[in-house]
Amino acid sequence: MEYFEYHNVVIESPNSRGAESYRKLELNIAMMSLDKKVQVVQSTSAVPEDGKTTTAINLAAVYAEKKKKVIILDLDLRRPKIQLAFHKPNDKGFYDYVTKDVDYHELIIHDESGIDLLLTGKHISFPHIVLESQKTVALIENLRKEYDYIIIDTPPVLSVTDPLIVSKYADGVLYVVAYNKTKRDDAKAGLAQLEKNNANVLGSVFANIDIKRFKGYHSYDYYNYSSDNGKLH
Amino acid sequence: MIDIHSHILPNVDDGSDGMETSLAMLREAAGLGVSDIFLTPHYMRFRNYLSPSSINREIFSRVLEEVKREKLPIKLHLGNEIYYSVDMLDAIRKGVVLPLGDSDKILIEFSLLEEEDDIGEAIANVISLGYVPVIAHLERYPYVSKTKDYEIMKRMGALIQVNARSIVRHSDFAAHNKAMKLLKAGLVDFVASDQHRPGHNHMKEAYIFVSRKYGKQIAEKLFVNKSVIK
Repeated sequence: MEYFEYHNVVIESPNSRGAESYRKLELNIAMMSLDKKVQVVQSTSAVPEDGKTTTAINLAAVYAEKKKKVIILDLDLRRPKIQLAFHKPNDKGFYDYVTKDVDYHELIIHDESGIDLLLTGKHISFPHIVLESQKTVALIENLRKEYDYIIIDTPPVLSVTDPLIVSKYADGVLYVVAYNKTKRDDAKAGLAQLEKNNANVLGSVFANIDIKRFKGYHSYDYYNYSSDNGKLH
Repeated sequence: MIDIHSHILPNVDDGSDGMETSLAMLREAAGLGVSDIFLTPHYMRFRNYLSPSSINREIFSRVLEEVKREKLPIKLHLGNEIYYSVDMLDAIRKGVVLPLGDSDKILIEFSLLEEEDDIGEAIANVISLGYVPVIAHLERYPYVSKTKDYEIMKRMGALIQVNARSIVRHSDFAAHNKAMKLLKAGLVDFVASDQHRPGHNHMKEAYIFVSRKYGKQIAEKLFVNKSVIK
């Protein structure tokens, strides 16, 4: 049994170095959007527990801070985590949109942070098929019209094909590498897969995660990042 | 003693089969020194125990009348033992199922056979609704046995209930061992009867056992946990 606790430093400690690093991340993405707008941002990593969810929620908080209309879409349909980061019940969400034709507006949670959330809801049996469906593509297209930014959390690249499918409709991919944890070969292999699939990798977010381990209980706390356009040395 | 888990509410689940049986169970509990008891009928889809709170409240008020008539020295509270699935979140929101009395605690159980739902996920979901989950008879789930897992549940904010029977009866050896392990690790919050019929209330026996092994203070903490009573 595992449980994860997430910290949104941008909200919880806005003056911290960690918060500042996410503001820099946002700035870097903005610089890369000069020619082609990066509106749909995907967060992924090579292997689990490398900080992709922490990156997604903190980046979203930076957008909310700037009064941008932002939504986090949790498309990690296998091990969803966004509900834990925002302490929300996860019984309604993407599942209801896909399987029951529920209007997605009814499924969106308006968090007090100013960030909107579309959680996974119940478990979906064939995530990769659902992610490739026209319904999912249509959802992203509709959200584009309603939000300034759409941040998508996805599973790790080396675990399943889901993130490669999502990268097809994302404008850019943040590839999160925990430099105190991710193995170099894993990091390279994951990035190679994204590139092979023509994903627009915006940069590698180097996370310095201080994982406080309490016998399987992970607490993502302090965080740092740097981006060098996806080049891994 | 305060017993937070019993199947005394008549004719709604596999517990009491009628008012007389319920009264026999209540007399017995009072005689053993139980001052407060929670009537926690199953709410369990796959066995079709789906009596909603509206019906349970009516039955409960009839039991209350009988207890009053007999002047039994025991206070009754209503709740549920909710068999967790993600659908239960809506049942909780709508009040179809009940927390333990007037408290913010919700008694939830899981499959006794195999892991169907992630307990961690269940805990996070129940907490996000503003309730504190109490895991019913944690010692009885064959797929959870690591102290590490118990600790994570506690750290996440869940409370742990162990059956009195598991402490003093060795027939289910695995459950007994895990109950001992939980007690030894100091992870138990409630010991309850989970009584289904008369003659099966092990509260007093278990109290004496825990009191001898761990001291009266610990026994009081586990058998007279007042956090569920306002």
